[in-house]
This record gives sequence, structure tokens and C-alpha cells, in this order.
Amino acid sequence: MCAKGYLSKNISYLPQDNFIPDQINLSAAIDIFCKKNRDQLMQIKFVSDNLDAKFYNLSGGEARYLECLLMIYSDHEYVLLDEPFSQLSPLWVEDLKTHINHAKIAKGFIITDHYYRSILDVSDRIVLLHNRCNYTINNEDDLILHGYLPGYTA
Amino acid sequence: MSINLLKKSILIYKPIFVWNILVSSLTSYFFVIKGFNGPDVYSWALFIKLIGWVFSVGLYVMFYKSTSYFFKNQGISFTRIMVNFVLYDLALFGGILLILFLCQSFT
Repeated sequence: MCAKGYLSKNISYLPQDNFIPDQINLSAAIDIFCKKNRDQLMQIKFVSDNLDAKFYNLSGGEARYLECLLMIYSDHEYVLLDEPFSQLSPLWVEDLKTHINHAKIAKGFIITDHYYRSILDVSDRIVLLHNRCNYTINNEDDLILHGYLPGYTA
Repeated sequence: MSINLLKKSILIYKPIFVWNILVSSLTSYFFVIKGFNGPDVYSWALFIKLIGWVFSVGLYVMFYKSTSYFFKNQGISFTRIMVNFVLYDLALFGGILLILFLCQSFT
């Protein structure tokens, strides 16, 4: 058992900010993080079209989208995604949801985000952290009930 | 010392490697001027090398925030990177010194 989770090399973590250095190109990043799942990533058109692109040549949204994909298809068994749906266009959000639903068959995901509708679409178990408490969430009405969304009247 | 980590480190921390090569070259030059016979120059060279390392750590800390998760996602810790940095630098410094002394003995 490792004192720090990342030393186990079993956890991928997508932080809120961009984490892949600008001078690396997408192909090198895939070689580093997704050796086993390279073929699945290559089937995504945006990935195969931008293999030689360095991260400084990509827009913030493009870099974020690619970082999300790299973590979703990373070689590790568990993936922690911190606000993966932020900074993305609606089309890419839908696309990411498809990839998460596809990849979650083989690995565990922990996702934190304020885009609750996207979370509801991809999650098997939802926990609301609010007012220093944990609440189990089954649908949107539970979010209103626990005061995360407006609309609750006692 | 890992060659794989060396490649990644050079790619990400190029300015730190360039800085270390410059400091090592300067320090080696001082060594070659008087070698081990001149304690004043010898001490000065070691002092420069130590100060060079302090600046290396400073440069690394500047890069750390933007690159820490890149390495953590590969299971590489801050300590391992720093230990490798020092080992690479010692190897480089030793290499430069050796080459300079060999060249000097030809003249």
C-alpha cells in the first residue's frame, strides 16, 4: 500500500487546469499515458487529425478535450476527473459522455463537476457534497431537496 | 538513474539542463586553470557549483506547478525527479571535467 495514491501507478488524475506541458505533441502524450488503449484513441477523428500538434498550438478547449480523452483511455485502472466538462463545447461534452460510458466497463471513474446533468448521464452512483454532508442522489429532484438547486419550498 | 526519465526531463525542463551545463562548464574551467593546486580557485569553483544548484531548484519550482500532475500521472514523485536531477548533473559535471583534463594533457 502506497502512502501517496499516484505512486501506485494505478490512478490517473485530470486536474482542473491544463497539465500536459505545451512543448509535447499529442502523439508523445499518447505514448506516455495510453500505451494499451492507443488504438481506441486513434479511432477518434480529432485525435488522429492532430497527432503532430503540440499543445501550445491548440486552443484551451481543444487541449482540455484531449487531456480528458488521454485520462479516460489511460492505462490505469482508476480515473479521477475534476470538472472534465468545463471549458468544452456542448458537442464535445456529449462526445466525452459517450467515451466515459464506453470506458467505465473496464475501469473505475470518480468525477466531480457542477454540470450535474452530465454527471447524472454518466454516473452509476452520485454523491452530493454539500453543507459538510454527503447525500445520495438518485435524480434531479434530490438535488432540489438537498438545496443544491433552487426550487425547494418547505 | 533512468534513461526514460532523463528523456522526459530534458523535454520538459530544458532551461534547467542548459543552466546546469553552463554552470558545470564554468566550474570546470576554474578547476582547469589551477586544478587542485590552487585552493582559492578550487573553493570558488565549488561555491559556484553549489549556487548553481540552488538556482536549478528555483527554476524547477517555477515549472513545478504546471508540470507536477504530468509526472504524478506517471507515478513519478518530486523527490525522484530531484534525485535524478542531481545525479544527471554530477554525471555531466564529471564528464565535462574529464574531457577538459584530457584535452589539457594534450597541450
